[in-house]
Amino acid sequence: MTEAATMPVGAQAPLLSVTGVAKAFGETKALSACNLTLRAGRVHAVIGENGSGKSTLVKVLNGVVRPDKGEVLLAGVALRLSTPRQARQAGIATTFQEILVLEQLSLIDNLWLGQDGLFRRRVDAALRRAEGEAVLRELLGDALPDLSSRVADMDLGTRQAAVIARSLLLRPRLLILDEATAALDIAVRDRLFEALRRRTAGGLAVLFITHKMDEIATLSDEVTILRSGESVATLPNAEVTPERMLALMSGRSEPLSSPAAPNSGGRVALTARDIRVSARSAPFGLNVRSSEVLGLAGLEGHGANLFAQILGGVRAPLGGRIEADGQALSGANAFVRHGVAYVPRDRKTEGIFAPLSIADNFSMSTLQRYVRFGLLDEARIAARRKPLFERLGVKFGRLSDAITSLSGGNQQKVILARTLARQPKVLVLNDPTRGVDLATKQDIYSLLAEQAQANVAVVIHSTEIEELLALCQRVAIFHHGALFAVLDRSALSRDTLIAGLFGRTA
Amino acid sequence: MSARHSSLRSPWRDPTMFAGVLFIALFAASVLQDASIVSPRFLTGAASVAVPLVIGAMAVTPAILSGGGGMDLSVGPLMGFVNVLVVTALMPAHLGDWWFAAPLLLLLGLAVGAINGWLVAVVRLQPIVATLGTNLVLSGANLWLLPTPIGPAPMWFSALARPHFGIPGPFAFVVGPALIWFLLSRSPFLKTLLAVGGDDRVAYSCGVDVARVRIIAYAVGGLFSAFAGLALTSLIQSADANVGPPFTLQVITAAALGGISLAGGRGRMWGSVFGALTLFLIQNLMTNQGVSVFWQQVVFGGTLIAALVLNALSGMLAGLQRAEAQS
Repeated sequence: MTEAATMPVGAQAPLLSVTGVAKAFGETKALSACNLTLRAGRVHAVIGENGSGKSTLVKVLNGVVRPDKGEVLLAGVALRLSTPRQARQAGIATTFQEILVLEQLSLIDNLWLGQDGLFRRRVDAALRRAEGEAVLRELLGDALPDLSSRVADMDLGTRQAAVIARSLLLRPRLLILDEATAALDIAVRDRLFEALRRRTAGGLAVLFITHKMDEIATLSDEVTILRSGESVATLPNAEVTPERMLALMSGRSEPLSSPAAPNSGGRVALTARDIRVSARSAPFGLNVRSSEVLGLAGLEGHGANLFAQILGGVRAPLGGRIEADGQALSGANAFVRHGVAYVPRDRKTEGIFAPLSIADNFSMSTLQRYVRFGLLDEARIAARRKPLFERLGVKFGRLSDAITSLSGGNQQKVILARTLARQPKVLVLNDPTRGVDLATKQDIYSLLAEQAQANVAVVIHSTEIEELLALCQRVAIFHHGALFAVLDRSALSRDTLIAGLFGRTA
Repeated sequence: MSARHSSLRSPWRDPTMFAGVLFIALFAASVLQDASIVSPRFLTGAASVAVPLVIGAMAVTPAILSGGGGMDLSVGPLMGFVNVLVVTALMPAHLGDWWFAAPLLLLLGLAVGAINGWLVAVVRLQPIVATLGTNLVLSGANLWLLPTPIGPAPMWFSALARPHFGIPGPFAFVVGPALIWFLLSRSPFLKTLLAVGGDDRVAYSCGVDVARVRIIAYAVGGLFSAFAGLALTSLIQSADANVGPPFTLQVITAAALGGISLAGGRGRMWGSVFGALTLFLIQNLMTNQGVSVFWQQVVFGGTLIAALVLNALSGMLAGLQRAEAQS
C-alpha cells in the first residue's frame, strides 16, 4: 500500500480489533463469533444478510450494546463502552441507516448536535458555520441548502448527507457507516467516497456496512462477510465478486438473477394524465399496465419518489389526475377501492405499526376481511397469513413478538405480506429493497415477477440501477420533476439508464 | 429556500407569534372597553394577579419541551407548598426574612423538580403519572400543614405587592425566571433540551446525556414553581392550602395556548408567557362584563381548542407548502 509511507509510526498495528465478540438477546444469538481487524487508513466493508449481526456489531462499537463475550481493542487498548457518548469520546463516530435528524432544529444545529457541553459551547459560532459548510460542500457540492433553515424543509438526500457530515465533523479515528448511503444520489455518493479517501489518506479508518456491491468494489480495501452472527471470511478487494459474496453470505451459490419474464404488458390499469409533481415542473402522462413491472427512476429530488406516492394514492398531484377504468381517483380511499396498494419508502415511520406485534402488523390493513359476526376470526387471519409468510420466508420468533424485534428485511417482508393480503390489482412499491440484504432482495424480486405473471400491475421506484435492470419491462426516468424518458426492455441498459438520470440521451 | 422559510413565519404558521397576536388583540379589546386599564394603578393590580400564572406557565414549559410525554402536574401544589411553608414553618421559627426564606424556598422547589426529573428520566415513570404522584403528595401535605387559611404573610411580601419607582412590585418575581431562562437559552442547554424533546434517540446516539437534560428541565420547572409560589404569596398576603392546586391545569392551558407542543421539542418560552397573559385578559374582560366564573371556564376551554385547531390547520398548510418546495 502506498499510503504506508506517510503513516505515523505504530499505525501498522490494527486500530480496531474485534475478537470473538458474542451477543445474545434472549434466545436470539445476534453475534456468536465475530472477528475483524481494521488498520488506520483503510476502508473495511462488512456485508451480510439481514439478521447476520451487522447491526449488533455496530451497536457494540457504538456503545449502545455491551457484548456478552469477546474483546474489542481500539489502538491496542480494551474498549468498554456503555453509551454512545463514550464511543464518541474514544474517537468513534457512527452514522446509522436510520436518518437521525431533528426536524425542528436548523441544519447547523443538527450538524453539531452532541458536541457541546450542557451549558458551555465548545466550538464558537463562526467556526461551526465555516466547518459545517466546508464539510457539507464536500458532500453536496455547490448545491448547499441554507444552514440556518430547519431540516424539516429538506429532502431525504440532504438529511442523509447531514448525518454523515455530523460524523465527519467529529474528526473520528474510526468512522462507522451503517448503510448510510441509501438515500444519497450518485453524485453525492461519489463525492462522499472522495471525501473518505482524502481522510483515509490522513489515517482515518472506515468500517463500511452496505448491501451494495458496487460500493464495496469502489471504496473498500477488504470485506468481511458475516453469516448468522459469525464472521465467515475476510477477503481483499481484488478477490471480491458478487457471486462469491452471495455464496459466502447465504451458503447459496446462484448469481444475481433476473427473474423478469418478457411480459408485454396487459390492459391499462392506471392512467396518469397531465401530472405535475411540483409547482415548476412540466406536466406528463403515463400508462401503467397489468402484467408488467414498471420502474420509476430518478436522482433524489427529481420527482420519481413523489410520482410513486401519487400513483400509490398517498399524495395528491399538484396538477392532473390518476384514472382507473376511466374514472378519476381522488382520495386514498378511491385508490384502495380500485385495488391500488402502496408500500411506503420509510419503513420506520410509514410502514410498520411499531408498538404492535408481527401478527397485528400483518392483519391491520385487511381487518374487515376477517370479521365474522362482528368479531375478528383468528383462524381466518391465520389462513391468509400462513401461505404468505411461507412464500416470503418471513423469519420470526413468535407472532406475538413486536414487529420491531425483526430485522429490517423481515419487517419489509411482513409489510409486503400485508399488502399482498389485499390482493391488489396495482402494486406500487417505493424503494422496497432499501436496506435489505441480497437474499431478501432476490426473494422480493421473484415475488414481484410472480405478481406480474398473475396480472398485477407492478410499479417500483428504485434507487438501484441493477434492480431496475433486473426487474423491469419498462423504466420511466424522471429529471427535474418531469418525465424525461420511458425506456423499453429493448432500449434498457446500464448506460441508457444512467444517461437518462442525468437528463441525457445515450 | 431561505425566502420561503421566512415567509413561513407569519402568525398563522408560528404558534408563538400566534399567541402574541392573540394577546395584543385581547389587550386592544380590553383598552377599548375600559381605557383606565393602562393606568399604573390598574397595571400594578393586574400584574399581581397575572404574575403567578405567568411564572407558573413558565414552570410547566421545560418539562413539556423535554418530550417523552413530558408534563409537570406538580406546578400548582408546589406553588401552594411554598405559600403554606412560609406561614406555617418559616414564620413561627422567625425565619421569614426575605434573604433567608426566598433562597431556601427556591432551593426546595429545585429539589422537588429534580425529584420529578429523576422519577421520569432515571426510574422512567410516565411523566404524567410521576408528577401526578408529586401533585397528590404536595396537595395532601399542604392540607395537613394548614387545614384552614391563615395570615398574614411576612411584611416583605406586601412591600413587593406595591409599585416601586413606577414598576409594579410583583415583577420582581418574574426577573429571576426570566433571567435564568434567558441565560439557559444563550447556552447550549436550550437547544439540547429541544433536541431531547424532538427525538431522544437521535440525541442519545449523538452523545447527549438525555437523562441529565431531563432532570435539569424538571428541576428548572420546580425552581420556577417556587418563584410562582412566592408571587402567589405576595398576591394573597396569607397562606391557603387550596389556592395553589387549581393553577396546575391553568398553566398547562397557558402553555398549550402559547404553542408549546405537548409532543415535546417545539415551542418558545414567550409562547407560554403570552398564553398566560391571554388567559388573564380573557378572565379580566369577562369579569368586567359580569360573566359568571363558570362560563369563564367554558371560554378558557373553547379558546384553547380553537387555538390548537388553528395551529393544526396552519401546520397542515405549512406541510403542503414544504412538500411543494421540496419537489
